[in-house]
Parts: sequence; structure tokens; C-alpha cells
Amino acid sequence: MLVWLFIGLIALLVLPPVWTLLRSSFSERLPDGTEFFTLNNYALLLSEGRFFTSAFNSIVFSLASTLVSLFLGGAVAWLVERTDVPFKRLAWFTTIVSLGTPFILYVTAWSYILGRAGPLNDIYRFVTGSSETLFEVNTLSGMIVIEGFIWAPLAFLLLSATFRAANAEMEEAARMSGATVIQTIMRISLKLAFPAILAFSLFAFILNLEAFEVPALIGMPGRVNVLTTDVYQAVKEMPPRVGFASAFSVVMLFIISALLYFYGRISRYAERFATITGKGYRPRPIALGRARWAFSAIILLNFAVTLLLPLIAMIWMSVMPYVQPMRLHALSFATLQNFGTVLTSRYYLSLVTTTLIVAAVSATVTMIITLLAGWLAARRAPGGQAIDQLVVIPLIFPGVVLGVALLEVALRLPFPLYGTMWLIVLAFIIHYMPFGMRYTYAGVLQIHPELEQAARVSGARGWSILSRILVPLLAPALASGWLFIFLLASKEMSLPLLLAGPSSQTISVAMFDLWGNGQIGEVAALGLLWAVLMTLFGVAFFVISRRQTSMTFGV
Amino acid sequence: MAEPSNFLSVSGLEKVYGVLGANRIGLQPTSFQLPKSAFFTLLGPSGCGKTTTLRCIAGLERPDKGTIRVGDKLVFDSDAGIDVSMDRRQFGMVFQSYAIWPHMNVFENVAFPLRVSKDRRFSANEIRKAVGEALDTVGLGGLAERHATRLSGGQQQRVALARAIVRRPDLLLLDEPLSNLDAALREEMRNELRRLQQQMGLTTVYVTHDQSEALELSDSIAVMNAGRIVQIDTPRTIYFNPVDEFAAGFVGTTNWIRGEVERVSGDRIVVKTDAGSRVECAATASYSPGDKVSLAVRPEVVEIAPENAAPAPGLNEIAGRIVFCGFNGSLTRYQVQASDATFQVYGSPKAGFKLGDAVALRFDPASVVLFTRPAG
Repeated sequence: MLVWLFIGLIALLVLPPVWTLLRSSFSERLPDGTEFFTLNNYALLLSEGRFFTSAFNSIVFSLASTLVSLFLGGAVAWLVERTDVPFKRLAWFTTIVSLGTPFILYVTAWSYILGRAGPLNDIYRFVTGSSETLFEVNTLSGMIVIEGFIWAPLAFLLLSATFRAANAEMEEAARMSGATVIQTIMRISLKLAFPAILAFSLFAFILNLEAFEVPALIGMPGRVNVLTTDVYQAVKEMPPRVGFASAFSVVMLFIISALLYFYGRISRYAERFATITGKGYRPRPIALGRARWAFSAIILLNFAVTLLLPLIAMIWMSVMPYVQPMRLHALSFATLQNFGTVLTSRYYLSLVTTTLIVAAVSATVTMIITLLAGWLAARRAPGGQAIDQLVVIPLIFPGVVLGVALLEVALRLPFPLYGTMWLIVLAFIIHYMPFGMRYTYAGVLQIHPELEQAARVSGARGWSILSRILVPLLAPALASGWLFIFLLASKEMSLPLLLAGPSSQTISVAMFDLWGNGQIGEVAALGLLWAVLMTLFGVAFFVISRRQTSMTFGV
Repeated sequence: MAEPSNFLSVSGLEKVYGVLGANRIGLQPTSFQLPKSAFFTLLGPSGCGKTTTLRCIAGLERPDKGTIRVGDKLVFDSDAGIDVSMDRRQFGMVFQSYAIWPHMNVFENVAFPLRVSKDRRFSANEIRKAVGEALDTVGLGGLAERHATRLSGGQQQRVALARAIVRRPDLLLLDEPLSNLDAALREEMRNELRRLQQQMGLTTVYVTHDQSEALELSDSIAVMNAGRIVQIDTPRTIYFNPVDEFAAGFVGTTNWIRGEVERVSGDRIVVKTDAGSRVECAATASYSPGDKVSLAVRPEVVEIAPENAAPAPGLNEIAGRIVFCGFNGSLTRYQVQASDATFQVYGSPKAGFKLGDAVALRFDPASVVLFTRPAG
């Protein structure tokens, strides 16, 4: 039976990482290669105070940065969808561009802006005349601010879908009942959006818990560790403490599984709040009156922190031969040298090729697998439920943890996968399968089963139904799923960082290395060029999927 | 106090959405008055401006021009710059989607207008009493604690109604409230609405595209088309004396015959149809020979008789053949192919005509409505 073969294939993709992690977390390897069972790794975890410090840091970091992105992104989403605030297009533009920007670029830009030589402290010293710094970026607060800014566009995307889908008549009914605008917001709008806001918060919390870029680039230099950087360091130590890292990872898997369970419950609750809507009358946006210009400050702030400031910082750094404060006289040093290096070097060209191939192949294979998986699961075919449950397993893996697991899997394989780009592709496929599934599953649900039944009655069999009916109808969902995965894969850092060999480096790995070597100018130049390319993909993604987003995320 | 005959007075109401060629799309200048306690319906196809009119009255939409007065309260006047905000107009409104807040139970949904009231504070006791009365009125007594997400469509509808009347508003606005219900429930709610409106003496503005709803419920109806009111009248007048072809075609089923006035004699007009037969009509306006006209004949004024039945003097008679007959319980619906047109007529369910029978269609000249056809 083909279906069972397919289930077997998925199981073969998602189960070995889990099994390997569990196994190595309970074992110790002697220099002669023999392994034996031990609880040592866990004992070590509990006895080294480091785990508790990191766990505490992780929670504070995730919680606080979730709040930053929620307030910034949520406020912008509400203003754009529900009021007559000016600059609505700017808010969308900001979001689209930020979709294609590698996180490392943001992080680099912000660590400069808030850093010792950056404009913030520079202005402070200039104004006060002191030689102190106002803000130390390599701290938990620095991490929180930057991580919060990074996810604000996601908060905007998901919550704007909620606010847009909300039945405007609910608010109008309150106004007709005699409630003022403020009363309507407090008693109706916010309460109705609450489950969706809660669901987003939990989602963002999980993302932040799994985050690697900000902890690695901002936290590690300041010796502020969180769970993910601890795992990374344990693997990168010489000799690697694989068992210890695995124990760490297993604990994270449990935490994230529990959080995902609650996330699922809250999302379902949020859906219950979605009620039948009226005849699609374009609701009159809430008139803010003269305050609309005051509120537009929030949109502009969002534009500044997610786009303008990082961009200015990047451009400044990319044209400067070395990092220095933003001063007019420094402009005389300005040079295009960094761009020249990036554009002419064969090394960078190979990075671009590798990254594009890896991202494109991963996105394609993932969409093919999840097309079948989504179809079987949505149509409740025999085995469909097993598929549904298997495909979401990778959600519990932070990138770093999946990286550790696949590292071990690859080392145990009889054929040489380690060090090739195909190991990264494999990792991406596993990592992004749940995302692809959300697109295809939701897409299939939108297609009435009778359309397939009609094909069946007309004499079509499984394969031709799939290729002649389903794929054409699913084309928008497949395309936006593909682009979404492509964009994520092309900027993902933690997986390639652990899995790339010397000949299979990707852009973000190279940027990480450059950053570590202090070649900030080249990071900035490379990042900027890359961001332009990805923004083009981002625009395509946005155009195709504006309507898909809300339904796919179900928030 | 305003004159009882114009409790709600709308004049020169205008709202333009856009310009298409030489036409301005949207609500064209619209005026009407209605007396206190009237049940008034805005009827028309989608996009005719009926919902826009209702939303302008509610304050959910800001008109470009015009005035709206309720009782002695001027709520909107474009010239004087008066625009009372919707939360201060104190009208009750039922939305098409009911808009029952899912995070509150039935009691809290209905109590909301009292809790946010500005002109006076209601004590907990008063609120309990008023909500209880409102729920009893709509037949939901005992469901106060039910959660809003656990209500059927019909129950949501009743909660929405209770919420709209709990403050005893001056004006009740209903925006296609029955369109989301299934057929049986719709009929039940129709009776319920009318009973409630009469019992409370609520002045009501009702929006619908369903002509049978409008005919059955209303004291008066405004038929709207392309942003204008075509006719305001009682249901009977609208049905039997529509002012133009649109009104005749939109409200009820109509058989159309085209022809030319042949001669006018006293109160009778004889029309020669395009197919060559002659139909007599009562003269309701002055026509002269040669005028191009359309005749509207309602199916229920047409009697269907066997071909060879004794002639009935004074009635028009057209011969035809049955091309469709459908029995639906309360009557049999026939389509009769005549030389002029295919007629839709109703017969008694017991009538025994069969497909292909040759029949005679008879109707009173006084029941024929005559319209001038625009030239060209």
C-alpha cells in the first residue's frame, strides 16, 4: 500500500532525530567507541547551576521580547486594520521588506546602533559630556529589545489578519448600544481579540525560546547564556559534550511540547470566537479625529525600528572601512570597497549559489511531501491521522537542537552525508515540514470534497485527481508555502551553523563567521545585497499569500 | 413634539461612493417621512442603497448631504454641521450577522446597552428587571445564563432583538435580520417581529431584498433601485399599482406583454400586442393611439379555463398551450405559451389541466397595469 510507504517515509524523517537525542542523552561514549547507559548527563545538568541560570534567562528573555513585539506589532495591526490612521501602506511595506531580511543583519545593525560606538551612546556622550555609556547592548535587556523588534512584523501580520477577519458588526453593535469608542475597544474589540492575542503570544514565546541569532550574537559576547546557546556551546566545545547537549535538548523538547499543547488548545478556543459574518460590508474605520496624527507616530516608530534605523546602520557600516561612530567627518572615509569585495569574490558567489540551491530544493521537496500529507490528513484517508501527528513532531525542535540531533544521525549513517549541503537540505525539510503542512492542509480544507468526488465519478483515479484537480486548485497555497519556506530557509542560521562543512557554507553561516572575525563592513555589504534579493521574493510572497496568511495560521 | 405623521423624517439624504462615467454611484438624494409606530421597509436588490440609507440613519455611515430627524431630535444636518454620534442617537439595531458578542452570556449581551448608558445610571436591580422583560418579550426567558456561543441561529436572532429593545428606543433598525435563518424559522420570526413591533409600538425601519417579507410585514414600503426610491406606498398599492416596470418586476411575479395603443374610448384603452392580439385595459393615465406600452399582468389575476369554455363577457381572453405544470401543494403553477408571451399563471391544486392542453387565459381589464415604454 502506497499510503503506508509514505507514512514510513515521514516516520523515517522525523523519528530518528528524536530517538538519537534520547539515546545519546542517556549514554556515554568511551574513547574506544563503546557506549553505555548512564544518567550522568542529566545529573550533570541539575548539578551545574548553569542550566538553571540559562533557563531563567530564557524565560525572561522570551517573555519580555514577546511583550515588546506584541505591543509594537499589535498596536500597528489594530491601527491599520481598524482606524483611519495615516501611513497604512508604510506599515505593510515595512513588514514585507523585513520578511526577506536575514536576522543576523538586523542583529548586526542593532548591536551597532545600541552598541558602544553606535549613535545611541554617541549622542548620550555628546549631550552629557560624560565618557560613560547609556546602554550596554550585550545584556539581557539588549537581547530583549532586539528580539522584540525582530518579531514585531510577525505580530503585525498575524494580528492584522485577526482584526481584519473580525466581524465589524460586533463593534458597530456596541456603538449602537451607546458605547463610546474607548468603551467599545475595551469591552468588545480587545476581549474578542484576546484568544488570538494569547495564541500569538504563546507562539512568539516558543519562537523566542528557540531563538538562536540574538542569543548567539548579542548574548554570548556578554556571557549572557540561554538554553539554545548552552546547547550550541556544549557541542562546539573541544571535545564536544554531545551527551550533555542532548540532555539539555531533551529537556527543551519537553518544555516546548507542553507549550505547543497549550498553543493548540488556545488556537482552537480562538477559532470558536470566529462567528458568522455579515455581507462583507466594508466597515467604516474608526475615526480617530485629530488624534490620528498622534497615532501615526506608532506606525512611524515601527517603520523606524524594523526598517529605517537598521537600514541606515547597515549602509553606514557597509561603506565604512572599520566600525566607527556616525559622524559627518567620517564620511570622508566612505568607500564601496566592501561591496566590491562581495560582488567580485568567487567565495561569495559560491555562498549565494549554495544558499539558493539549498533553500529551493528544501522548499520544493517539503511542499511535495506536505502536499500528499496535507491531502491525506485533510481528507481523513486511512493513515491520515498518523501522518498528521508525525508531521508536526519537528515543531518541538529548536533549530539548534535539531542541528545537534542531525549531527549525530549523520555521524552514525553508513554513507557520507556530513559536510555536504544535502545534510542541510535534509535538516530544512524536517524543520519546515510542519509549516508546509499548514499551507497544504488549510488549502485542501478550502477545496470542497465534491470537486474531487466529481472527478472520481467522471472516472479519474487517485493520481489524476491529484494532478488535474487538486494541484491546480491548490496552486496559490503551494506557491505561498514554497516561498515562505524558501525565505525562512535562506536566512536560517542555527541549523547550517552546526551542519555545514567547509564546502557547504550558506550566507548566514558566512555572515556569522565574518561577524566573529570583526569584518563587520563585509557582513553589512553582503547582508544588504542579500536583503534586496530576498525582498523581491518577499514581495512575491506577500502578493500571493495576503489572503492565505490568516487562514493558514488560524490565529 | 413633531407632527405624528413624520416621526422619522429623512430629507435630501445623499452619499456618493464614486463616479462611473457620467454617473455618481451611491445613494441619490432621498427623502421620506414616517409616522410613529410605523413598520417601514426599504426593499430592493443588492446595491440599491437600502443598507446605506439604514446605516446613515443609524449613524454608522456619514451622509454627504441631507437631514435626518427623529421625533423632535435633529440627529444629522449637513448644512448645520450636526452629526450626533451613533452612541448618542439611542436607536436599537439588529445586524444581519446578529453580532452577538461571544465572550458574554445572553444576559450580559442584552444588559450591555444599559451598562454603557450615558444619560442615566441603571442600578443592578433595574438592569435585571429590564433584561428579564426584554428576554420574556422575545421568548427567551430562562436562557439568561446561556453562553452566547451555545445559541442556535434563531436564538441569536432573538438575543439581538432583545438587546435592541432593552432601552425602549425611539427607533428600531433592522438590517436583513432574517436572511441568515432557514426557511421555516424565517416564517416564524416574521410573525414574531410583527407581533413585537405592534405590541411595543416601535417605529421600525426594516431592510430586505425579500419582497414577500416586505409585503407581509410592512405598513409602508419604499422600493429602491440604483440609489433611488422608486415608489413609497402601502404593500397593496405597491403590488397592484406599481409605478414603473422595475417596481412591477421586482415585487411579485409579472407577465409582460408588449404592444401599441390602438384606440382610447372613455375609460378603456385597447392595446394591439406585438403578436397581433388585442387586450383591453382600464385607463389610469392618458394615452393616445400609437403609444408604445408594456402591460403587466399578475399571475393571480389570470383565470385558466378549458379552451372550449363558454366565453366570459368583459374579460380579456388569450389562447395558449400549457408547456409546464408544477403541483406544489397549495396551488398548481402553469406556464402557458401564447402568441404574445409565455404566461405564468396559478390554478387550483385540484384543477386537472395537463401538459400540452390548449387553454384560454382570462383576466379583468381593470387588473392590467400599463406602462409607457421608453422610445428606442
